[in-house]
Amino acid sequence: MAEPDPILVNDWHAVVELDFLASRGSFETVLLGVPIEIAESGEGSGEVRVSRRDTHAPLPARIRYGHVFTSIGQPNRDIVHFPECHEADRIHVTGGSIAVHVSGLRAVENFLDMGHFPFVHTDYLGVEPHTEVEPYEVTVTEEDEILATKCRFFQPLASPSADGGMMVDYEYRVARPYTVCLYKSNPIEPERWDFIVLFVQPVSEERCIAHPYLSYLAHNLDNETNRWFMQLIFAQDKPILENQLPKRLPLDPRAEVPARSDASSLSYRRWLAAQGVTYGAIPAAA
Amino acid sequence: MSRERRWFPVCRGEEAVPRHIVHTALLGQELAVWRADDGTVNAWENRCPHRGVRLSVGTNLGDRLKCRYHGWTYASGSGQCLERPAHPGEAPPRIVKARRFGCVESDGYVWVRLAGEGAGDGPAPGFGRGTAPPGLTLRSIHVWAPAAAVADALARHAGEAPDGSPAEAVDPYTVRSAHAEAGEILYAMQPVADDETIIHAALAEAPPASERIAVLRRENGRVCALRDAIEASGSP
Amino acid sequence: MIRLYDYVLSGNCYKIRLLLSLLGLEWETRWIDFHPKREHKSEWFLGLNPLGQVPVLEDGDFRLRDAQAILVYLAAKHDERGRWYPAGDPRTLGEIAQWLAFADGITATASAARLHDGIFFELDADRARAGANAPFRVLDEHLWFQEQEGREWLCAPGHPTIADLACFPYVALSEEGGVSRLPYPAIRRWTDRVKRIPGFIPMSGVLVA
Repeated sequence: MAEPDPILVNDWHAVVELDFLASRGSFETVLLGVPIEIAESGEGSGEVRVSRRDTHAPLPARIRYGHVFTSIGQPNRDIVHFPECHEADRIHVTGGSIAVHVSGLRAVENFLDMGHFPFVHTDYLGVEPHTEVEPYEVTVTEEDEILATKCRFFQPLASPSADGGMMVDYEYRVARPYTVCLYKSNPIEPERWDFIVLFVQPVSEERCIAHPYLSYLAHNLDNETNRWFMQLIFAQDKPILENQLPKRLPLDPRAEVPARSDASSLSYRRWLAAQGVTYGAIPAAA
Repeated sequence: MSRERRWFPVCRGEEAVPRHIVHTALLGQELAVWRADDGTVNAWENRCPHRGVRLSVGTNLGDRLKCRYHGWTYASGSGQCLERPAHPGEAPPRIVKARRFGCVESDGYVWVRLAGEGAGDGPAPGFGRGTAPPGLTLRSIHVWAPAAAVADALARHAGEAPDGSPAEAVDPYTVRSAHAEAGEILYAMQPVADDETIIHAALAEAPPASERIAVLRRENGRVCALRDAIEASGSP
Repeated sequence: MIRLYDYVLSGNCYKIRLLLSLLGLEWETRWIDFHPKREHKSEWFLGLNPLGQVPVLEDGDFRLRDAQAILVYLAAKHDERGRWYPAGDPRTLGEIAQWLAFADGITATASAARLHDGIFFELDADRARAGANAPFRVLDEHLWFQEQEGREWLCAPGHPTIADLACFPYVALSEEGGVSRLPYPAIRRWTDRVKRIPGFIPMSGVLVA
């Protein structure tokens, strides 16, 4: 196993959902190969402690987006800021963290992908024969994030508040190597976006935990409905991800055969290579 | 002789049923084995060239195999990619193909080899009995043990011939025994991975139809008992 | 009205949804926040089922827990053709009861490993995985010999019964718990047949044929 890259070591990662921690009191997990423990400091205090289970050294802890974040290094930048997650007319809820036996980079790439909607999320996010991925734009921003815009796809049941099929507009943004979010047009207020961010915890190079956080416009929705819909959808991706060979993401452009619809995936792989991310990847031969 | 150039059985032919995809492996190489409606049997690398998803979780459409992830389809025989639904009506580049392995059906089994062309190395695909196919193919048995250990155990214990002669190891992957009740039995190892083997077995002579199920059960029980003994002996 | 206390990723809840759908029944769902909130262990839910397990079914004023028991009840009450649970056929009823109990053995092994690997249940997952291979071997052998006698389903009749529905979900989900079905080709053919039963519905994680 390769040593984790500094860019990952010295960054924040979501490691447990607060609602889950509250049901257990403490939780043991693994981040970048390091065994850690998260514990509530005291009844109702809202404080948590994070520590390494091997050296017992304390680790920094932040609570944000319904999750505990920590770092096994020296974080040199803050947790990504998502303004939508602070808007009052939205309901904000964690989606239910789910572990997946695949590199977290594969999970991020899948989150960026529209072409699989009719085949993996049949009758929800897509349905045959509406399979075309129209051309969209991918750029790397001045903040060194990947942005995919002008994405459109036909969806039979785009979200829990949808009432029938519609063309849905999407934007995707890769903010960190293991953090990706999407904006999709709301079925009731098409000029505004629903928002989902996926914080992916790299457990090892070939295992990850996906921590979704949803900020949907509130229209008649409740936390429970959003949560079951998110778990329904993500659990459809899980068997696909776990059947990918190899489990790590190949960065060599010749390792897999992309199509035009894979523009965001190609950009993501190039960007990872440029950032020096190798953990969870198969680097291209020099 | 290289193992990659040798033909190995990977399943009974009748178990490659229509509109189904057999998931197996040979020498650590995962395979998707499937029969087209016209009878053609295909043995492909178990991996869609697009994003690496196992083809064995896809769909057998009768003349093509459809990947579960993005619906790309690959033609029986050539492996040529026929459709990429994200770009409807657009022919995929010729170079997009499922990776195919040599595959023939003989003596009631599907035989695959990972490398080589033409006649190649080692015995021809089949049990090597010339024109006489086996009388009855038995249930194939999966064992958590290396092929060499399984073949060795079969050669030592499967015989019990009436004249006391032991079973004969024809080659490292084939054992022939003569049994008091069943007559001649042929065993062929499928080395799935380093510590995983499937035993394919056939009787030379078919029993009377009225005894077929009883014979299948008896021989299944015999090989399962041997499997349990091999696994209990703690083979690596 | 039938009400089902349901968790979207539970194979035991799914088998009830599957039978309700195959029988063409309508029902209302009360989603339980099994993960992450462990609502099935909440005080109010323990009032419904002291075992703290989903599914629970209510049909009017009648309440029932245990997935296998609910399959029996629904098929006995609502299957007018009497095929899913053939009440007048003692041998088949005996076979069905045998496989319903067998399904609990799959739940205790393959399903336990899946809960550990996917949503962090604390248990010995390697032991659960190893334990799943024993029932899977029995199931594969049984199905292979059924095929040899021209039968496609777990029990003798020439159509599926609730025995097939009871065993299907956690077999079909086994790979999420790290239990490969490569060694079980007859099981793989049978899961394809189950997925092709007219009216079949999938759940997340179960890929349609």
